[in-house]
Amino acid sequence: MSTYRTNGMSRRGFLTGTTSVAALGMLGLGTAACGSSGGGGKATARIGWVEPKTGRLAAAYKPIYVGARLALEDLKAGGGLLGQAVQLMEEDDKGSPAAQPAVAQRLIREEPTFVVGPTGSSQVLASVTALARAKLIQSCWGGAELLGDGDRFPYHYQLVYNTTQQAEVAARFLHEVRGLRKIGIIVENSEFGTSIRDAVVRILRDTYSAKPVAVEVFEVDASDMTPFVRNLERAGVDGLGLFTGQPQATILILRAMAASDFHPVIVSHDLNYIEALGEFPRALLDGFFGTTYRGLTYTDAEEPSAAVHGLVERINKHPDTAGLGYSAVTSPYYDYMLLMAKVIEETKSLEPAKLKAALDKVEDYQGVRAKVSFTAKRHSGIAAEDITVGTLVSAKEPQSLGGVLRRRADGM
Amino acid sequence: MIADILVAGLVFGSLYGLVAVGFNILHRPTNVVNFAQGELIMIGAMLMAATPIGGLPWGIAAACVMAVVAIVTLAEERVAVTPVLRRSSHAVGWVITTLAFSLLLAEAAGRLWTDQPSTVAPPWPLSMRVEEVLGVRFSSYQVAVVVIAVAVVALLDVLDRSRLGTALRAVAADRDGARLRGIDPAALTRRSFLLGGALAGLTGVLAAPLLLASVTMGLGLLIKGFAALAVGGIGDNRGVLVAGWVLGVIEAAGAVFASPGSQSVVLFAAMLLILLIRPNGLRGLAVQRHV
Repeated sequence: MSTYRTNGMSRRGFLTGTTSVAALGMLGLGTAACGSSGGGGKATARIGWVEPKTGRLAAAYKPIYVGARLALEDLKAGGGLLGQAVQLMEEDDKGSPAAQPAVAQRLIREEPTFVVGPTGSSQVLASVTALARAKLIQSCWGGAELLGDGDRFPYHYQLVYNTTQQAEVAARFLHEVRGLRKIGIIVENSEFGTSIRDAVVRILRDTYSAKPVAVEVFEVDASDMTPFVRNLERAGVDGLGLFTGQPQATILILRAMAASDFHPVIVSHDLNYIEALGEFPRALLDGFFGTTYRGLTYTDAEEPSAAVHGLVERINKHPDTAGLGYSAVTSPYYDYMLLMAKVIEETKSLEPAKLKAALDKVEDYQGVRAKVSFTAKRHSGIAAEDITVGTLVSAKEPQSLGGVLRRRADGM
Repeated sequence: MIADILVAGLVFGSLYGLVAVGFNILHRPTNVVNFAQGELIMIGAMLMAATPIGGLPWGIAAACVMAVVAIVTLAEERVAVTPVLRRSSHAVGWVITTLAFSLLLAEAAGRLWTDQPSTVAPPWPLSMRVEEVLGVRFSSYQVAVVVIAVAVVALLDVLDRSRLGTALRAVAADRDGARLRGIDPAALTRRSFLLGGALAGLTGVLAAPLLLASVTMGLGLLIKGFAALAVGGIGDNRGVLVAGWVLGVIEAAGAVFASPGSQSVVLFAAMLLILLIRPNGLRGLAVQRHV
């Protein structure tokens, strides 16, 4: 091997390069504006819409907005909102937290009646902070508990279960229903992961006087999950809370478990049945469960409602679903759009202040997934009794309607 | 436990080392660090996992992937590197242009595929099935990845000693001076980008069965490959492969011994320490500078 000479990089060169990177970042933010619609006339009801149209997550997040698009079709077919045509103010956030302030600025200028999105805990935290100042009503897909704090984010309404609710159900399933006592936790190193890890530890301690036998935190870009899984195995874990938003991480964890024939009962965050799961032994998949909404589950004696059946049928036909019907049906946006339409019709107003006052009094609104209630202080709306645990392998049963619904776990 | 750490470190470190070797190949004639390398590897893995190419016999499929990624990399050289170097061989506009190319690739991938990971089976007779030999657990495919990484570095060593390698070193030392000596830096740059692109394709093909093919896989490999490059020393292919192994072992050890969530801190602290002790790379081959 030979050494070669180089002129290296001068300090001026480095500074020029750094400036270039900064300029590129700004260019990226500017590009994010490209998908936005212009302002409309006063006779239209505007809905702000934050969705990644470009970037790595563009295709992955499309199914999440399918429910909202179906609700929009329904609104338009029903004559719009208060008889006014509905205009979407679509903004491309590239699925990036860094893009949220610029997206929020444009939304504030467009003065929508309410805002749909963004999706993803980090994106949501950046967005709600920026939009709260403009008092714009908003609902996002972010599970962090603080997003349902009405004092902190008075204009954000959470129509997904939060991390504490999710942790309560997961801990109950593992400890009470399955009677497991060596509970472990494995989470990604993110806002979501930290939040749900703390919640599970707290609930095990406060409710069951127990503590996890192992807690593993992996980096989102970890290449190998074997060391983490071996730690869980060594601790004798028989029940595992596996919480990550990265499907790749879930598969790598399962692969490491399969390699060492380690098959604990798993409660996960995600019940999407993706093709990559096909490589695993049935024994491992039979023990894989996930938190979900009661309304989207079935048992031998209980069927989902006709409304759910109808929605699933439409989701399966929608071109944006792309085989990810489970993501589409669990998304909060269908229920959110219909709830906003109901509140607007009842208040006969498109003014955010009046709509907020009405939203703060919503009680037992029956969404397709779950019942929703808000108070001025509690904006985490999903009823605790409507959160349950479903089985992963039921995605292959005919009752799942093409892998969209899930069988409720025994005892839940 | 130690054996597990070493196996993981060697296997994933080999991938990081291959990424860093790719950086070296492209850097040599141009002094450019290609920030699109991670996305090129991602394209390689996705071609194998999500296109009909993956259905071909493994050898043919791998060759096709390497060819396609090489062509994409050549396109990058044409639109994002040569125009910058034409203005001045010392210009650093490539930082922005290679990043922009990386964004274009990520954008295209994001439109074509979702973030759902896809599995790619290893070629026969290799397998991902874990065997235990003398208490050490590994799969035949993991062994193959380490062997291929070593073979790639050995081949590049041979290339380095050839006439072409000498010409590349001359261009690296002084692009304008090499031109005066009758060497065509532009042609050498094109060849290097083709070779570097083919290696990126191969790295993607090798990584897919281990990491799963996904549109999000490029960034992580880029960062860890860059870390291996920094620790191993720019231009030193053996050094960056060893650095990849060292970083892989530290990463795996961090997962076992460090407190939850602090693996990145451990990895980068170790990297900093190595750079403090060996600022010219692990093997200490000083990068010389004209005055």
